[in-house]
Amino acid sequence: MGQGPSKPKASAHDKAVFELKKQRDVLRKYQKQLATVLDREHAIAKQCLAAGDKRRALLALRKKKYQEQLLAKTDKQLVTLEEMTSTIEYTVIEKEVMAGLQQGNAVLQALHQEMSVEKVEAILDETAEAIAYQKEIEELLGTKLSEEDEAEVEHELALIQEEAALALETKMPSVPVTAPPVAENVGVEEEVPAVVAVEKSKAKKPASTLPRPCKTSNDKPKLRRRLHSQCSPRTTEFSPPPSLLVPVATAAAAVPDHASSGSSPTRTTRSRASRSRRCSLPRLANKKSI
Amino acid sequence: MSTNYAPPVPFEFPPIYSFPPFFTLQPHAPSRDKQVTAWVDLIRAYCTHHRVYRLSLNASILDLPLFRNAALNRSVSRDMLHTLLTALVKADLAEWTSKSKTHVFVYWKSLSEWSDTLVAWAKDNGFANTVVTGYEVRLGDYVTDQEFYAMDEAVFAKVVAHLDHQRRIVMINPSSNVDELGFKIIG
Repeated sequence: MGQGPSKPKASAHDKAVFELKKQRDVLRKYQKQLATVLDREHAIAKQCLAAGDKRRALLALRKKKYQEQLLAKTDKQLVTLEEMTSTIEYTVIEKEVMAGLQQGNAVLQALHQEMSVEKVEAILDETAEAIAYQKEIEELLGTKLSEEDEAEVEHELALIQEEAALALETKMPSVPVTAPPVAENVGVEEEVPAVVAVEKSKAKKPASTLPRPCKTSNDKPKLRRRLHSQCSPRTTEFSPPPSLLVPVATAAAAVPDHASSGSSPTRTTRSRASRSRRCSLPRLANKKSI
Repeated sequence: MSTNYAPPVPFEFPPIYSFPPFFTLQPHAPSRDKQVTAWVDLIRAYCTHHRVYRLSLNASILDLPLFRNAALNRSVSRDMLHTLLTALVKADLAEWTSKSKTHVFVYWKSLSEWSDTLVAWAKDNGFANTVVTGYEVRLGDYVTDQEFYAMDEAVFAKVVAHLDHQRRIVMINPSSNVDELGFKIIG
């Protein structure tokens, strides 16, 4: 460890610091000596006083006072010396910091020389060229859509969105306006009112208990369909659109012709329809077997 | 042998110290070897405890409780003392100060151990790479709690010379007066 080829030399400021420290040591030693002398004079004064020699006791105390003053002086000198050494040591550190900063600056400058503004510009230009080239290739290969294409795509998307919104709006029914007369009509029949009442309560329920509008908007068409399934065969005034009728009448589903063309939709037509469905079943079975 | 250091607790002698034949050199060779080994260990432990750096082959050495058991009224003879110190030197735990073989430096820590201690102190306390004086390191206000405080001057000079030889210090002021030694401990 530390077996370097050349022995590190002591610098001039090292020697200066050493001289200061040596002086400090001398003062320290002197202080120690003074301290013992002080103690000794104190003891002498006590002894003399005990022996009744007041004059010599006073002398010892005067000497002691003088030594104390000396001690105070050396204290001051010590502080001065310490300050001096600290200043030197601190300045040395400052010098080292300066050297470090200088070195850092030199390195920074060298690095800056390596990356001049012209070089950076050239590199950026080259990059831009490369990007342009890439774009060209993309267009040639057709991987990239032109701006017009993009605009068309955007337009189409907007159209679809509009349609969807419109469809949603048309689906949104205004049930409460038309439903009451239906209910009155049905109310003439004997067995239905209970069902309608139930349906009514069902129709109201989701609107009140479930505040979410999407839920109700979904429910309402369904409800209407259910109402049709109950009422449409018996009422003449109420003519729902065929699109709504299709999924509704399960009884008439097999023979839609009977259900829609029936001039007087009464219970007989209904039973007839169900009967005809029953008849049609074997036919279907025949078809299947063929 | 003189030391300003006052250990906080008294030294605890081993049981063999209370064994009277321990103070007489044994004629039988194997027993004598064992006895001398035990003495070397004891001297080292005692010197470590009391921070004794020097032992002198004069009358005052027998004032040390180490070589005189007052309770048993036994003490080591001059010849036996010489034998023991020779064994100590042989075990690298001591060194004759001169060819007259009347004094030994007791190395309860070897010179390289002392060197390591000094360097470690300098590093731990911010004295590395700063100028220090021999007086500062040996008797300064910052080392009163250190093991090497008030170290024997001659041993201290040897440690510094050892450090200098190993290039672990920069000598600024070589001096025969240890207090005026000036050097920088390389951290």
